[in-house]
Formats: sequence, structure tokens, C-alpha cells
Amino acid sequence: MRIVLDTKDLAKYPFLKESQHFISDFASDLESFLSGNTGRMVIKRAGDCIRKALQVHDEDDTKTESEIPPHIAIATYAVARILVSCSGERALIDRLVTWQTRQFYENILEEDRDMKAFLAERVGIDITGPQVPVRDYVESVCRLREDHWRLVNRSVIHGLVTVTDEEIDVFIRERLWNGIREQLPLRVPASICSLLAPVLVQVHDLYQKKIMQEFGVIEESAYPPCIQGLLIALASGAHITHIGRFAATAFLHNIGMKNDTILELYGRAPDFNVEKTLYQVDHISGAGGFGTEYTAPGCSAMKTHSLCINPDSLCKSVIHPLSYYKQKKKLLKNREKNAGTEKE
Amino acid sequence: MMPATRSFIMRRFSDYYEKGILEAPSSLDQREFGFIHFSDSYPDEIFMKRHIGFISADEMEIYVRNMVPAHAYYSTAYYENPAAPTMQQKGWSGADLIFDLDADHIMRGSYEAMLDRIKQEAVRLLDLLTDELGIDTKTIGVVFSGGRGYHIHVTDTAFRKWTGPERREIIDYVCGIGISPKAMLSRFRPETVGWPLRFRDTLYAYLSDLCSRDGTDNITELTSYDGIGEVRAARFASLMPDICSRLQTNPDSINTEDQTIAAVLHALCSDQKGRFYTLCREAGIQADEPVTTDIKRLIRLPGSLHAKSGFRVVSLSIRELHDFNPLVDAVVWKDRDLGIESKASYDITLLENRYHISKGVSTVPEALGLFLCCRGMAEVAGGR
Repeated sequence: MRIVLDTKDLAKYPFLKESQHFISDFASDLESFLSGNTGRMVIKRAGDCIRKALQVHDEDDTKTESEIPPHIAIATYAVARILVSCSGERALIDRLVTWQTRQFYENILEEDRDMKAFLAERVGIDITGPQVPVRDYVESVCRLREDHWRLVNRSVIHGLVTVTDEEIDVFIRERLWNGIREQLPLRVPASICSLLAPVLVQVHDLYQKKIMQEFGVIEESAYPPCIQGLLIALASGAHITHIGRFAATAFLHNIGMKNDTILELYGRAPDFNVEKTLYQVDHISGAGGFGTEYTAPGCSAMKTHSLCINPDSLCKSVIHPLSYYKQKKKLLKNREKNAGTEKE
Repeated sequence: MMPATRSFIMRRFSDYYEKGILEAPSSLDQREFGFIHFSDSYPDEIFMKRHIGFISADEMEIYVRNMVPAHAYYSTAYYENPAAPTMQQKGWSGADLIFDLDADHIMRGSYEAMLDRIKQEAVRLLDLLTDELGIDTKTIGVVFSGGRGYHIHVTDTAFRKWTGPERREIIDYVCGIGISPKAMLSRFRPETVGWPLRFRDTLYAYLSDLCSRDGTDNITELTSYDGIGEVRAARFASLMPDICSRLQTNPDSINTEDQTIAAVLHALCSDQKGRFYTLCREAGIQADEPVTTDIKRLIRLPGSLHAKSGFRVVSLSIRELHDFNPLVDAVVWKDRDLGIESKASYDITLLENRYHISKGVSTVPEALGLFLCCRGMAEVAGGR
């Protein structure tokens, strides 16, 4: 498809190779670019992007800044990616990509059919017909939660899935998310990361604060039934499968429990082996040089492994034990508040 | 298992492996191998020796010939360093897409009946994979597990990099998990195929059956589902004839926003103890989900022997599956006599013959004797 892109388009879609080519004229040497005045402004703006990405959806302002010169907008996109790459935090990378992709999506909604087809082609899909190949479809809908996106709820024949016109925009967004996320973290030279260190510290602090806001002080009574069941079984000396141990450890790590405390919990188990458990806990939490930090399995995986036990009414409204925990904490807090008001 | 029986089985396994008929998996040097050996405590205690890598088919065969394992496996995954001791060090670079069909998950019955049933399921799965999901038949391999099932291997590189969530999407489709009646019905068009069509047909058959029963029966059936009370059941029962007629003509006209309809359809699809849930699962393929979502699974090596049956793990093309009879084609040993001491009386079909084995000592064809000994139903006679 032949389409003429103007500089506004380049600023709106900084991931395009045309945009990258355009910016290379302004910032051929990254280190000296970042040390200059424009570079410093771009670093500040990139930090702002990450701050916005960390806000919850309704606080977020995703308005397009049309007044910003294209080269600044494109450089901001790139530097924000460099910043999260330096941080190495998987969740932070995910949040930035989600925020950036949401902005692109808002723009895509406004585009005409030709531009949409051009962008779709760039993310590797053909939207000329109402059907997409199963492989592209599956790779694109994994993050989407609504039932109607599940492959099982779709009309599928000869390897093609039927999609509607309105769904195509979401489809492009998800392909974009995958494409952009796949490239991260970038391999950034240490000299560049140290140049960004002041903003990186601020971003990291904000991220920690965000985690504390989301999960706060650990509250055992808010654990979902599955995790409670696993911990009770562990304490009583019952045999727990590897995936069960993994689920409990990853969950406790994700809600902010320190590795030593997790280790103590395992100490109650009769087959406790300190070295082995320490290895497993470090591995799951990404400590001890393992690098990868694991997230607790979602409800569907828990069900698959027969670990979803005694689900209660709250379980019906969540798809992840961590969401259960967040919601239950809120409920308990509200209940406490109400009880306090009644007493007064 | 008596030591003499174990030694005999191991000796016969050794004879088999001497012939060198193992099949090397593709990209052998990127696969991890694992083996369960005939240790002194086998089969009471089983240890898997894994993290083994081979650089060639010859090396693999020499290992198997020397060690004579009871069970042999290889990874569905491809690794940079398959012999490394931890997953981190192994460097996962992809995995085949695997479907596991095990008769144990579907029915109880004679071994022969279970093998017949699971073969039908394999044929249905292959149809779904090729006709609906469009998977190229050239990339599909079928393997008889040597036990009570089949493994379907999809080696198409398009799926190789997929992790858990993508594979979950496929296995949910295969099994019919996560059905949303609202999503299925409200988007139904005349050209709709796949699961929405299967769901429509299953729902129509179920509700038509309910309609044909008397009123009390309907309410009893509907209230057996989680979350459905008598009032809701009665209202739904009164709407059933209309729903049935719409299911036949235009399912998208069914008002899935109606609270009663939404609640009952939701209960039908989500109550795992309910009859409708079972019907939906039967309309799909009853595969073992965790095997498909696990990207680091070890699976039986074709050409190896399964020590719980003595049968060969046989790889087949889709075309060969039709005429494949595991009770003939996976049997390695033939007519030589073997004295056994049977723990009970059994009727068994093997090599197209029907055998009655009485409790106690008897002489049987070696193929049958080994099968009974491997399954723990008999011991080699005079082995005490």
C-alpha cells in the first residue's frame, strides 16, 4: 500500500521505520543528543510518559500533544523505552507499552480506511477481508479479557477467524502491543543508563510507591481461597505439587512479601529443604541473579492444575488471584471503615 | 513385581533395543531426554533421570541399548543447551504444539474398548485441527503412546515460539472451555461455523429434550444447576419453546440480555457437575489440557517401549491411523511360550486372538505374558 506520511503522522506513530529514519537526522549520536538541551527536555518528557503510564486508567490523560515538534515526540517515545529498559522492571515495561499503545489506538480510531490498512500491514496483518489467520488472531487476543475475543467463541474455519470491522482497530492495537513489547528491554549501553540515572531513580521510586498503593501492607485475610488452601496444606505437611508451590511463592512475592518471610512459611513443611527452597524462592522472585521475575498463575491456569479450590463469590468477578487480593483488601478496608462509623 | 519378572522384562527390552529401531526426533541435538530405569525398586518407586542431551541419533541409540530404560522421553521443547541442569541455563527456544489424548480421562472399561474410544477421539481431533484450525497435515504427527492414548505433535514452526497463553487459547478451543453463550448466540450469522455452531446444536438438542418432558421434570433438571432457583427455572421453562425455535432459525434473535435467559445459560455452561457441561465437553475433544499448555514437557520417544504394557510407542501418519490396531501393531513379541503365574482370571484380546487366563500358573504366548507382567497382573512363573 502506498501512502504519503507527513511529519504529524510520524509523530503520531513513532514506532514506524519512517519515524525512526526521520529522527536519526536529529539524534545520530545518542549520548551527545541526550547531553544537549533538546535531549534533556526529551528525557524529562520521557520520564513524564512513564509517570502517566503508572497512573490508573481514569487518572490518565492520553490527549495527543499536537503542538510538540515531531522530532521531540519521536525521541520521547524512544527515550521512554530506553528508560524502562535501564530499569529492567518487567511490570514497568508492560505499563509503558500499554500506555503508548493506548495513545496510538486513540489516533488509529480517527484514521481513514487507507491509513488503517497501511498501519495493519505494518503490524503484519491483512485487513482487506473479514477474516484473519488463526495464528495472527491467537497472538493478538491473548491479553484481551472479554469473552467474545476467546477463540472458542468465534466462527473458525480452514484456519481463518471471522472478525468485524470495529474489531480490526483493537486487533491492530494488540498487534502493536506485541510488536513493541517484543523488542523490550533494549540492550542499552551502561553509559546511557547512567546518563539517565536521576530520572531513573525518580521513576523507580514512583513505581515502588505504586506497588505499595496497589498491594499495601500484607494482609493474610485477603488471600484468595486457592492461596489460603495451598498455605494451609503446606503447613499441615501435605504434599504440594511443584506448580502449587510455584503459585504460592509467586503470589506472595508479587504482593510484596520478603523472600525470608516466604522461606519461613515453607519451613513449616515437613519436607523442608532450606537450600532447595531458597533456590526456588530466589528463582521465582528473580533474585540471586536469575533475572526473570515470575507472576503468579491466573485463575485459568490454577483451574487447569486443580488448584482452584473453594472459590467464593468474589472469585467469580476476577480472573487472577492477585486481583482477588486487591479487591478483597479494598472490601475489608471498607467494611472496617463502615464498622468504625457505626460505632461512632 | 518380583525381581525375576523385572529381569525377564528387562532382558526382552534389551533384545528389542539391540535391533536399533528408535526414531530420532527432529532437531535431536536441541532436545532434552529423560529416562526411567529398571531400578531395584521399580515399579514401586520411580525415578526420572533427565537433563540428558545427545548430539546424534547414534549416541541416543547407544545410550538406550546400554541402559535399557523402562520408559524413554524427550522434550517437546527445543533448547540451546538441552543437557543443562536448570531451565534458565537450558535456554528455551521453542516447543512443538502437543495434544494428549488419554482414555483414562474419558471412560472406564476394558482395555480394548478404551483403545477404540480414544482412537475415535484422535480422529475427531485431527479433523478439528486440519478443517477448522487449518493446521497443515504435513506438520502433524500421530503417536500411539504405548499405554491408553495418543499424542498429536504439531511441528509447524508458526506455533513454535508460543508460550502458555497462546497454547491455552488453542486447547480451550479444542476442548470447548470458556464458552460464553452470549458471545456465541448474539454474534451468530447464517455462515457461522466452528464452536458457535456446535454450541447451537448442543443447546438445541438439550433444550428440545427438556421441552419433550413434563413440567416438573424440567424444573427439577434446571434447579439442579448452581444458582438456579425454582422461580427462575419455571420462567425459563416457559421460554424454552421459543428459544428452541429461534435456535433453529436465527439464534442471534434470542434475548441474551434477559436476566432469566442469561442466568440459566450461564449456569448451564459453567456448572461443571451439570449435564449440559458434559454434553459440551463431549461435543469438543476431551484432551488433557496441561500437556498442551506446558512448554517444557517430556513426551514418550517413538520407537521406545512402554514398560507398563510392553507395547511399542508407535509414530503414524494421519493416513495410517485409520487402519492402526494397537493390540496388533504395537505388540513387539509374538508366539514364543512363556510360563506365567496370574494373580486373577482375565479375558484379554491381543494379536486378534481372545485369551482366557485362569488364576495361577499357565503357559501363554510371550506377547500376552509380557503384557500381563508389565501391567502387574502376573509374574513370570517359577521366579520366586
